[in-house]
Amino acid sequence: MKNFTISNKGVAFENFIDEIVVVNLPVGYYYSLKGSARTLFLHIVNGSNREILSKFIVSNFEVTLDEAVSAAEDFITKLDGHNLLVETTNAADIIPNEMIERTPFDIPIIEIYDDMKELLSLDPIHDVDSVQGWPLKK
Amino acid sequence: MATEKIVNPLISVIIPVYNGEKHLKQAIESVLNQGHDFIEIIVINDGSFDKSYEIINSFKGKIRAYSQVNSGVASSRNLGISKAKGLFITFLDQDDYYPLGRFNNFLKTYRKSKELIFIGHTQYIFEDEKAKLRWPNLPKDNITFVKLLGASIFHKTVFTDYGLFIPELQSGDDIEWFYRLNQSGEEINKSEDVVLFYRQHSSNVSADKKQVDKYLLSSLKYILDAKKNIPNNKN
Repeated sequence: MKNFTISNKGVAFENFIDEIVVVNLPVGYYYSLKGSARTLFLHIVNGSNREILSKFIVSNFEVTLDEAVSAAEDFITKLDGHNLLVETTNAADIIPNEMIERTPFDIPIIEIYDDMKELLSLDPIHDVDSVQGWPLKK
Repeated sequence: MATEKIVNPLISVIIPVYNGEKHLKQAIESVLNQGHDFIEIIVINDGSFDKSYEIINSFKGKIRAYSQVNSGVASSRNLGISKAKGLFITFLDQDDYYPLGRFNNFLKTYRKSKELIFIGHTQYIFEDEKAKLRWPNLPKDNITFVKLLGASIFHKTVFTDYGLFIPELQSGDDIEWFYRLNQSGEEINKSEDVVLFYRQHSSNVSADKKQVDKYLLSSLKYILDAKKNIPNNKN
């Protein structure tokens, strides 16, 4: 089974308090992930696959295994469809932990935005160096 | 909104500077060399600790200069806008420069057009081959149309109508600002002329990448919060 992590080829993300924002610069898309989508994304950052992600969902949320498998499949397919994933050898299996308090599961939603394509695909942002100063571009 | 059709309207060129000694002289000279007397150059020294101050001083009498405690590029641009006397405002980064005749087409066009925003083409200038690797999609002549502040000229009312740059966004401020402008539906007059030489460096690319991404993503977060009417939080 293929293991995935988040791509670093033109893809960047930042974990804010309530939301992960992801940008795919080559295509100029950006994404918002909240709630369970945020949790699953952070799990995938460390390497995962469909099976492990399903176990992760079951161990953290109040869902059946079937629901978890379906959600994991759907989530990975969507991320992969937007070229946000790359294969990796890393993927730590999930060890069930009864101490973890499982929370209600909201269907993971990836909000997709393409209204910045013109600005993002040519990435006009400037490099900043704390010593050399700004604007120092890529 | 009607534009005042003065034959040669004053244009304010705002140059924010933070430790820009390497290319600043060329940037300022590229504006002076335009040879127009209806251009004012406003340099904002944002707490530089290299030789930027001396370089700025060497242009005494030819430019207007202001200093502030290091507050970031957005804050510097905003200070420049507040000091600008021009009917039109544009920007130039300390490491970029203008081609000769940068304003010629604008002056011909603006008199006939109703738009308040004019954006021309940008030519990317690569300091070395490594810097070029980052831009695989550029045309062979390295010229393309991209919304950059340095390639744009704005009627001053654009900033009163749509607001200033957001200082918290650091160097992602232009992304957010152009997004706001896009949302406004304000029409843009696009020119085929190259109006900006946009210098690209290869140094420190990997070291800076994380920081660049952070600024960009903070700007996108700001935009997302605005879309969802969430008060912007600084996290």
